[in-house]
Amino acid sequence: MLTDLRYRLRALVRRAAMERELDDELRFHIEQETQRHVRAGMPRVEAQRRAHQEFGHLDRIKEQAREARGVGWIDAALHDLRYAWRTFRARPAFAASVVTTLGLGFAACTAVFDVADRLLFRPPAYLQDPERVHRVYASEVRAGVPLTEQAFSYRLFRELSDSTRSFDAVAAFQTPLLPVGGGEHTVETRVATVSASLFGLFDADPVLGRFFREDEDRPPAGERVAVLSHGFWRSAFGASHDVIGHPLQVGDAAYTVVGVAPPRFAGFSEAGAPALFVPITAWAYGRAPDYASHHGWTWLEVVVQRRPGVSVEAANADLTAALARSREEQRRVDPGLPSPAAARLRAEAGPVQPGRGPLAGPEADVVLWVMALALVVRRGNAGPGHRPVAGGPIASRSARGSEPGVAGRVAAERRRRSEGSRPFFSDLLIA
Amino acid sequence: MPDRLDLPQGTLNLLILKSLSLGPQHGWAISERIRQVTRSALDVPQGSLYPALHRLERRGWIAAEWGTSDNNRRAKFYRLTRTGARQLSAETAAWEQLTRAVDLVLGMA
Repeated sequence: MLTDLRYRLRALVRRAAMERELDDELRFHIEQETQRHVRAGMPRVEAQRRAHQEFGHLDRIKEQAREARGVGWIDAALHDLRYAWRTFRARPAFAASVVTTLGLGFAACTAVFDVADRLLFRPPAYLQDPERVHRVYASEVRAGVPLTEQAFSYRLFRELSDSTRSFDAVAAFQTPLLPVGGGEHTVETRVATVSASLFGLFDADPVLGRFFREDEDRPPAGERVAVLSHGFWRSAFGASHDVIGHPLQVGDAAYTVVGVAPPRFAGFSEAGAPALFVPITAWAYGRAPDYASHHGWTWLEVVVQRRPGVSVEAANADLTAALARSREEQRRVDPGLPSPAAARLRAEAGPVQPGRGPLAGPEADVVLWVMALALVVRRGNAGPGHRPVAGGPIASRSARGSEPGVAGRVAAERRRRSEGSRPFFSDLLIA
Repeated sequence: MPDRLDLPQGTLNLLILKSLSLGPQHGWAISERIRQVTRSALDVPQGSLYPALHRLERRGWIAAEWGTSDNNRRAKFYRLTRTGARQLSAETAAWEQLTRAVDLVLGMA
């Protein structure tokens, strides 16, 4: 290993000298071989031709020898950089178009990675302790078919909240599309209907006014109050500081603005920040006044924050027991429901990122596939028969041929490309 | 002249190390020695020798030094290092084991 490193280092530092030595060494070989043929009675010109033929393609062998010294990629990189620089100097319009193309490419990549990041990796903005916060999933087997749900009735949310002891907070939310505003200014937009307990999971302060409180989110009717998202506050109210107390039509009821959330605050919404946040109770009451008394309307997602020191397994057991108690309650009204044991009823505190949970939808798969495809396409671009999007390789072949001093290297260069060289360094120059 | 055989994968290193075990040689002499000993039976492309020599030098199995050839020309001479000698023993043993095994299969009644 040390010998290898020492050798590579020497090959790097003494690059020019080693190139000369390689030339001398190969020339010596061909000369020796020529003399052997001459001694066997061959005319010198023919002997020389034969020696070259038997030796093989000189440029290719030099290239392979450089690779064998472990510095071939440095040569390739330097050559790419020099070539890219000359091309851009000579053809600024071309350079501009390459930069624009790459800019668009980077933007597209960033968008895809942002979606992947949000679905799979990044916890919601301002979330206080992402390690301890989970989405709740319930699973059971019905008629032999395993089912997993993340939609709960308001009543079940309250039961999970009241009869578990593993959690600092249990919160619920749903983000329906609703008409907001009045008259010609009505827009259909995302409105987060959330339990007041949700705000406590975040380390976020309203930029104006306050978040709504538990006493404004009590069943059955709650209070019709609203917290605007920062974006909606700017776009619909011009970031006016007089917005507190302002009435705002949401669906068919008027709400009163009590606060403005900080920038980027979106609660647990996967589709970016909703326009506003209203109490679950106030909105549900407007839709179905008896919503809190039965299990029929399953529409809420539930999140929990484990108490410090409570393991995920313990949290799962606690949730499962609460779910089972609730099921037994429901069986009194609907004896046809399978018992918790028969249905293998189970609740799980899953990852807060939906793309990593048991119900990860096709979008998570699609994003992963797109990311994989992007990598494959990127690799394919550098492969045989294609010219990668890069300074050196992107240039036309005729331009390459007319480059002073490079004509003799075209064959070796073309081969080097087709054998899969690295366009990275010329990309780097453009970047 | 007998039909020439393609060199089995990985054997070029063994041939180079063995040639150098007899004393320092420049590249052409190594190629010439292989040709003579095998009576030209093996098709060793001459050019392929040099990437292999440089790879072996990088691994520390051989060392190189510039000297003067028989016809008074400047030439790069390679010699086997101690690590190279150990490698030669290991590769020779592996080769013999392989050929014995193949012989056994071919000798099946």
